Amino acid sequence: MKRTASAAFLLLFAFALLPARAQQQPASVPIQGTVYSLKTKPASLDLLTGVGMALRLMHITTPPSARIESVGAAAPLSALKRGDIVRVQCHWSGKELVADRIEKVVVR
Amino acid sequence: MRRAPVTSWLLVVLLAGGCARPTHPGDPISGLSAGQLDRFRRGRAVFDSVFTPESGLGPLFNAAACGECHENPVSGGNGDEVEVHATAFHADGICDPLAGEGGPVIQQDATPALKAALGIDREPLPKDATGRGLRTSPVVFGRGLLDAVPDSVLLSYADPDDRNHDGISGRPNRFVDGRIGRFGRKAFVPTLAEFNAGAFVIEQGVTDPAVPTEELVGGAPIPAGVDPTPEPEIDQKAVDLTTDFLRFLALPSPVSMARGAGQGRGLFAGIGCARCHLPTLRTGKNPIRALDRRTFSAYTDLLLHDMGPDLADICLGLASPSEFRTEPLVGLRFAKHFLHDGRAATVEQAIALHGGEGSRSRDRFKALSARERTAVVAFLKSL
Repeated sequence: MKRTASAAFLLLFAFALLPARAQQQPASVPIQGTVYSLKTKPASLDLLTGVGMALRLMHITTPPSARIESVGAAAPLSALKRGDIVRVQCHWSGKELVADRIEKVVVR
Repeated sequence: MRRAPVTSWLLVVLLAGGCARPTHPGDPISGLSAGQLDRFRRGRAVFDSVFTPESGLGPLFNAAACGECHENPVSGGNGDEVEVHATAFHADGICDPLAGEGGPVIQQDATPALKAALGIDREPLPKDATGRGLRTSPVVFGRGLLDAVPDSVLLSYADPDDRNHDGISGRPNRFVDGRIGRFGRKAFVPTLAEFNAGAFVIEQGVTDPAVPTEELVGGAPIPAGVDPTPEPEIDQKAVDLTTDFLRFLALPSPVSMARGAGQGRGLFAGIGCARCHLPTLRTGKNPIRALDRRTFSAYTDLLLHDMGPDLADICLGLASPSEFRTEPLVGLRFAKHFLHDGRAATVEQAIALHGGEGSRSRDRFKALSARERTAVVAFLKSL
């Protein structure tokens, strides 16, 4: 799927910029964007990101091990909704982006 | 506080009007170092570079060069081109920029290879679009100064609940990551550098390190073999040079005022136009001396204002279809069409089309005598 391919390319590109020693560990990449859609089975979210007017959707799977925080407290994925701004710490599994931590960002 | 300090405004006028060497369109801002001037010149060369499919153009694009749309009267000026944006505004107030369907910018041209592969000569409008907006190419003079205004200044002018009951309730837009926006007709993009990096991709189809993937073709991937140039198609050095050209591009000095224009400036403020089109803004602390704590002619507050249903087109970020960023008016003298989509043929028509939060000032303008209206227009055409 194109959006997955795009996300993969972005992450691989970021990964390629890392020093060789760092590449021995799975790259952990922070992505901040707007929740575009949420799925519970299998758990995943599509995140709206981009640079300037060039906007992209990134598909990120959210395994049960992913820690989700909303206003400083642990929360289920269902606590998030479309339009929320989140900061996602994720890594590339080799075939998809996987969330390690999702934090809802409060905009002031 | 909504009004810019009168003293600083007068200072800018005096400096622009006679105490300093006039700045011509296309000039760099004064006070740059030799190294910064060199980057300005080299950045202008990238800005004027014409891309081809072999050097990265397309497969979808609006123009082959930045300078193709920003050329009048010099590089960094305005252009005749009108582009198409499309988004979907939902009942719950959420705006979908239709990124998965090729939005929000719908490219109006395609390379020969894409035309041959898909039989299209432009990107199709997304099927889920609820709004379509046309966008003219504005001048980009002085955008480095706008970039250097702190967010706190913008927030100080915001009055989203109209607590001062003046009928004006500006609010900042937010980018997808929550940062305050200021660039683009909907004030969606936070920084000049990001606007520029994104523009290479959406306007020319030239991928760069910040956006190393091509636009979708109406949501579909680009057919194999259509875009043989490896990504990214331009390097960060070239993007940064272009950003510095824009960052260092000066605001041109106002032209000598026609008869009555001085009175028009006073009337412009008197009928309330200057409540949104703030005559001056001030940059914050900046490592670039030429941009450091400078008061400059802005004629914008960089905030969103509801302009009424007649002008409404697309949503973007927090901006509803009827909300637009106050347009910076410096460089208005070069415009041949007015408003965000060029629907107004004259300045008078543009003022008459102001609705919503602009209604009160519009009506006051209409109530002026013919001589006074002429004076306001003469002032605006001096900018």
